[in-house]
Amino acid sequence: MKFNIKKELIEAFIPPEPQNRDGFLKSLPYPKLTYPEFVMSQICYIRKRVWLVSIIILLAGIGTVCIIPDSRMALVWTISALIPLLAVLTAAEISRSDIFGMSEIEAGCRFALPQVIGARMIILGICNFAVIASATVILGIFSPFGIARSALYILTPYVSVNGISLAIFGRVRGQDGVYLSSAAALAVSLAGVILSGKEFSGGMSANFFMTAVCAAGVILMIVQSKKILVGKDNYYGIKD
Amino acid sequence: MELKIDRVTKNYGSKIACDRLSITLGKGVYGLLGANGAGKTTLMRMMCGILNPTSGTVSYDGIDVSREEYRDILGYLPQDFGYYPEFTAQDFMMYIAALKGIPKSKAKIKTDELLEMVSLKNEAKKKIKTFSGGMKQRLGIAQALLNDPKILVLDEPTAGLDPKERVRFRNIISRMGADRIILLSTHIVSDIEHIADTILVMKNGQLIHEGSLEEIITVIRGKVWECTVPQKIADEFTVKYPIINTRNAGDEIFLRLVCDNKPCETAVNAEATLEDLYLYYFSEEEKGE
Amino acid sequence: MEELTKTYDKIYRFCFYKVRNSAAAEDIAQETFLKYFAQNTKIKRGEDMAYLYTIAKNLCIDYFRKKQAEELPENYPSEEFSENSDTKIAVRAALEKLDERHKEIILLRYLGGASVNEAAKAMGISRFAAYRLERAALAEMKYYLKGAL
Repeated sequence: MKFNIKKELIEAFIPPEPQNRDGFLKSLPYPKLTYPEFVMSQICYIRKRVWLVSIIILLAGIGTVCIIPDSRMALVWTISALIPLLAVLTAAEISRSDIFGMSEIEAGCRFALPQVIGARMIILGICNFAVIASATVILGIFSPFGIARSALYILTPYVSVNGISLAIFGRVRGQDGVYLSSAAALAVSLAGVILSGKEFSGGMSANFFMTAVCAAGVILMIVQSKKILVGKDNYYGIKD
Repeated sequence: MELKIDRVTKNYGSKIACDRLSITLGKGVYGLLGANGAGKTTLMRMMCGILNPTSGTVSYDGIDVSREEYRDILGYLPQDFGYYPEFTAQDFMMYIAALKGIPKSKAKIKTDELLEMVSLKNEAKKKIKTFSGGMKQRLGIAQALLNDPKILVLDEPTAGLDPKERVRFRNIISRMGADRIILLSTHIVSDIEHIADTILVMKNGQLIHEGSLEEIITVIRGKVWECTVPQKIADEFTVKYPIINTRNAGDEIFLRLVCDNKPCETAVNAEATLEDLYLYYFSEEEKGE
Repeated sequence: MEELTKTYDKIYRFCFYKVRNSAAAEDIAQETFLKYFAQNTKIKRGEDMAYLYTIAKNLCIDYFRKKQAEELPENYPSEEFSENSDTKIAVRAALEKLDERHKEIILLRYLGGASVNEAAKAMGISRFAAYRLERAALAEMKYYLKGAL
């Protein structure tokens, strides 16, 4: 029989059984997650519908360009119709703790509510930015608007719906908030489709109007986000 | 190991929910007793850093309540909590574990251990949607324990538990009270009577009593009377004395009441209980609800 | 078995070889963990084991220093490994004949259960050097054993 030196080495040095291993390991203070690690851990808790809509927007954008030869209008419609959906889903995701009554438990954890919501904002922000940037590029290339105006047409419905939805979720709790903000998203979608037909000939005043709406949306979005992250007392639906 | 609440006040507009309240808690189980609206939940939320006090401070061994280090050693069960609809019991635990900064491998072990402790092991993979009130409450208790907290704050932890679950809950708490600070609130007196080393009685945003069961009861010891009297006298007593209990006994009325001196010839002195004390303090408010 | 339990066993075995007393070895293993977790927040995961071995090794050296200075209480009697067949005794004797570097790589790899990478990092040498060192150590072991068995 062949002498296996490696096996023999392991077996020759078996110490007596350790006596208080399990008790010690149980009480061992282990290192906690760092914030970046925590943010990573939250990716899998973002609901799939967000990823799904993001992919649909990109596929629809590319699809429209490929299938319909003179696709300028169709492209504008598709993107105007879908972007508000992404915006409202994102807002719902950010406001999720409140919608489902998890705020109070989350607020008492090491990574408290502002950090949890912050993590969601980071993840969704990166993802939405990628979608919006890609959509802008597609629209910029395949329509006569150019990049700047394309960005305006995509950003305006996004920021306005996102801002409005965050405001709604902050005030109307539970499922009602979801219905209300969905209605708002739908309204903006329709407005986008209708306006894009009219505005297409594109006067200066129309562009100016849209820029104003976009700016208002950005401000609303920032104000609401800040309120969620900082305005503690009045944000947990605490009534007593 | 010292949790210090220092002159904490919380106002909601002109309403004072907590009024310059100071107390220092060491190791042990504390029962917070008070009627609805006495300020129990407000106090507990401030102890968990969820509400900012209007003035005053809360700190543990010098660590302020607003710090991450404080939350790191805190376990909290709110009076009412929701859950994400797609979550199973295990998902819920793993999610909260992540929020508590517990790495995944450790979280898995801790989740198994705690779900077993609250007898939800077989339901670990079931959606919370399908749970009864008691099961959900047990899950709530389990999540509070994930990080092995040194401070455990439980707001109405026994709500929705059946008698068997209550007994198990008491056992868990008394086992844990040895090396941590546990504060639990309830308006069910018998829950506190059996688990709490120290009872805190709260009324109108202030602590009106603090001490062991024995100490607290001395307030009304020898002052609890039972008597059976005609309706007319019963009406008279109801106006004059705090009534703890009343029921019809044939033509007459049986009364249990609190009074410094013997209210009538037939009255018998009764053993004072925490329930008596509670009703003595809070009967007025309970009536009002 | 849980990851941490495995790691504990590895460190404990490694320490037991050094100090030959189970209680002392376990104390050192536990102190190793506590030291590690007290300062590790920024250490990369791949280096974890190597770092643990380094801490354990230093703690063992401290142990002997204290023992020599007679600062330790007398409750650490010398203990032996579990089995005592002829082969096992021969293997143990052969290991003692190795020079320091060779002995250390064998200790890390086979008693401590370290991977080549971990052993290399603990010894502060390259992966390739560790691999070569191990080959040489094993060959030397075989040479001594051939004479003995």
